[in-house]
Amino acid sequence: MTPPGISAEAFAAAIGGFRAAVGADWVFTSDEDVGLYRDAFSPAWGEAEERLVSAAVAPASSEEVQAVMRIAHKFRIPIYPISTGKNLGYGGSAPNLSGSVVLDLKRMNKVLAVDDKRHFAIVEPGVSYFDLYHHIRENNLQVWLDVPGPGWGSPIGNALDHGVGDTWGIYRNHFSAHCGMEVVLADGTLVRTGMGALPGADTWAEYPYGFGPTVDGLFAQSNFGVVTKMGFWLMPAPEAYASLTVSVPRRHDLGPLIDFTNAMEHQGLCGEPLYSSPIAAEQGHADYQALTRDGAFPSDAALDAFAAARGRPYWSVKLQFYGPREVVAAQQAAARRLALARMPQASFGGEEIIPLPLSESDLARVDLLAFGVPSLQAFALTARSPRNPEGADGHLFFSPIIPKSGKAVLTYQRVMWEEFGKAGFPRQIGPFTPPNTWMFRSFACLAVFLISRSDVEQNRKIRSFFRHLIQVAAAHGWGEYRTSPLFQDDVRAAYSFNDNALLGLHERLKDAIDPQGILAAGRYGIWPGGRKPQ
Amino acid sequence: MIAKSFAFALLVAAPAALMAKGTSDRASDDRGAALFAYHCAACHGEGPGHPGTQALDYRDKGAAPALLTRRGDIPEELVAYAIRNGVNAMPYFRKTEISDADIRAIAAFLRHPSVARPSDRNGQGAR
Repeated sequence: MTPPGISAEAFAAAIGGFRAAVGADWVFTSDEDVGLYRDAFSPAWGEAEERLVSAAVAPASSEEVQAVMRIAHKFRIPIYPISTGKNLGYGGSAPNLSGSVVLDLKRMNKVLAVDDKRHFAIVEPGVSYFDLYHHIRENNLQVWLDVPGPGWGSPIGNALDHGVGDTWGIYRNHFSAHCGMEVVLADGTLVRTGMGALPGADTWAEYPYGFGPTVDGLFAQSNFGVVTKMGFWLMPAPEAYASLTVSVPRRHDLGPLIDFTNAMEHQGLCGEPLYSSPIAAEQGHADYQALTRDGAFPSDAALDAFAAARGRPYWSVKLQFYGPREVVAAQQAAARRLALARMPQASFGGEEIIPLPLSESDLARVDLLAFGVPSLQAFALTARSPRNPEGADGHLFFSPIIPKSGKAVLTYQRVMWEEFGKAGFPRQIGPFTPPNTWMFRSFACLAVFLISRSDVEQNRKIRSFFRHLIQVAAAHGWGEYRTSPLFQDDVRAAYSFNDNALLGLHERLKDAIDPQGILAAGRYGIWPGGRKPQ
Repeated sequence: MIAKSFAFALLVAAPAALMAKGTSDRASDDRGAALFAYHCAACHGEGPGHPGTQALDYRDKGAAPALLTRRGDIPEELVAYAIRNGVNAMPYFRKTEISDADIRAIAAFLRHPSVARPSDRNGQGAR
C-alpha cells in the first residue's frame, strides 16, 4: 500500500529519508509489521471501511520527529501520530486516512520531571501510566496520578483525546490538568506553549498560559501538530481516603440526589461520585421480567413498587473524599447532614476511612482507579468470562455527554431503551442505568458494543446502529465527547451550530498551519481543504 | 476463528520438544521475567483484577493452570503468535513495544518460570 495520491517513487524516497532520520530498524514497511498498526478492536475488521496503514516510523526524540515531518512535508506523505497506540475502543493506532504513515512515538518514553513539592510531571508521549506510576513509587515521590481504565495508555495521548479518570475533580479531566506542551508542526517547526516558550523558565508545568493567546487546545482531538512533551498537574498524596454511600428509595429521587451531589462536588467537598442503582441486581427477578415483557419502559410507579418490594433503594451515590484524616471524617459528617437536609428519605452506608498509602490487604479489595493505581482490569469487560463465554475481540464505546441532572438521565434512559429495542439490540441502557461521572462538570452515559473480528454482519449492524445513535443523541442535544476515526465525521456533523461554523474555523486553521494537509488528515473530522477524499 | 483455533491447538498440544526444559542462562531468564512483569503481568498476574488470568481460568476450567507462569509448557510459537496476533480482548503488540528478541526472552522465561517469580509490576503496589 502507498499513501493516496503519492507515487511509488516518492514514497520510496520518503521511506529512505525516514530510515536515514531514525535508523532503518525503526521504519516498518513489511505487511507483517505494518499490520500491527491496525486497530485491534476495529468494528470494520477486514472490510473496506477499515482504516489501514502504509508504513510506520518510530523516532526517539523531538529532533527526529522534526526530521520525519520535514521529509513528510517534502514528499507530501500523510502522517498519523500515536503515543502508546492503546486507544482501544476509540480507534487504537489506526489513522483516519487509509495509507497514512504512522508516526509511532512509543520510543519517546522518558519521564522528564516529577516534582512532589510543586506537584507536577513532564513526560514524553511514549510514557505509559504504568511507567509514570512506577517512576513515582520507585522514587518515593509523594504525588498521585489520575488514571484512565487501561494503564498502558499514555498520559499525553489520553489527555489529547480528552480522556478522563476517577479521583479528584480537577485531575480527572486529563487535558484540563495538563500544563504546557512541546509541539512539532507539520513543517517541522518546534513550538513550546505556555511558560515553555520562555527560554530558561522553570515554570513549564506550573503556569499554563504564558503570554498571549493560549493555543494548547488546538492540539487535542485535532491534527495541528505532534505533541512531543507535556506537563501535568498532579495531586499531592493524601493522608486518607473516605467514602459514604447515600441512597434514596424512589426513581424520581435521582434528581435531588444529583443536585445534592453536584453541590458537594462543585464546592470541592468530594472527589468522583459514583452512582449506581442497587435494584439493578434484581433485573433477573420474575416480577421485573413481567414488567418489561412487552418491551415497554416500565412506569415510574411500577419501578418504585418493584424496588420497594425487593427491599432495595432505587439509587445510590458513593461519595469519595481525600485528605487529612480529620478533614475527610468531617466531610463525611457534613455530607450526611447536608443530604438529610435536602432528602429526609435518604439512608446511608459504606462509611469508612482508609489510611494511605494503601496496605496490601486494602489494595486487594479497593477500586484501584479511585486511588490512582493503573491496571488493566477494565479489559474484563471484553475478556472471556461467565458473562461473555466466548470472549469478544474488542469493544466500541458510544460516549455522549449529557447534563448533570436527574431529568436528563431519566430521559436518556427512555430514549436509548426505545432505540436499542427498535434496532433489535439488547437493551443495555434501561431504568437502572446510572450516569458516568468522570467529567467534572457533565455526565457521560456510555453504551458498549462488543466486536468480533470474524462476524462481519454483526459488525455492520453495530456500525449502522452506532451512526443512528449519534443522530438520535444529537437530536436531544447529546454529543459524543470522543469517538473512533470511523465515526468522527458522523459526530463532527452533529456539532453543526450556525451552518457548521466551528468546523469551518477548524478547517481554516488547518489549512493555515498545515497547508499540505499531511498531518492526521481527517482526525476529528478536520480534512485538509475541507474535503474528505473519496 | 481460525486464529483462535490455532492458539488453542498450540496450548493443548505443545510439541514435546518445545516443552523440554532448555539451558537458557540466568541472565536471559531474568530479562524474560522482567519483560513478562512489564508487559504481561497486569493481565496475566495472580489474583483478582487480572482479565487474562480470569479468561484462561474460565476457558480451561482447571485443565491447565490459568497463570501462564505456572504452565511451563507454552511453546515459543504460541507466545509469539499471541503477542503478534492478539487473542480476544488482548491486542497484538507492535515491535516498538515488544521486539522479536523480547518475545524470545519472554518465551524462554515461561519455559522456566520457577527461575523467577515476577512481581506484578504493572498493576499493583501500595499507594
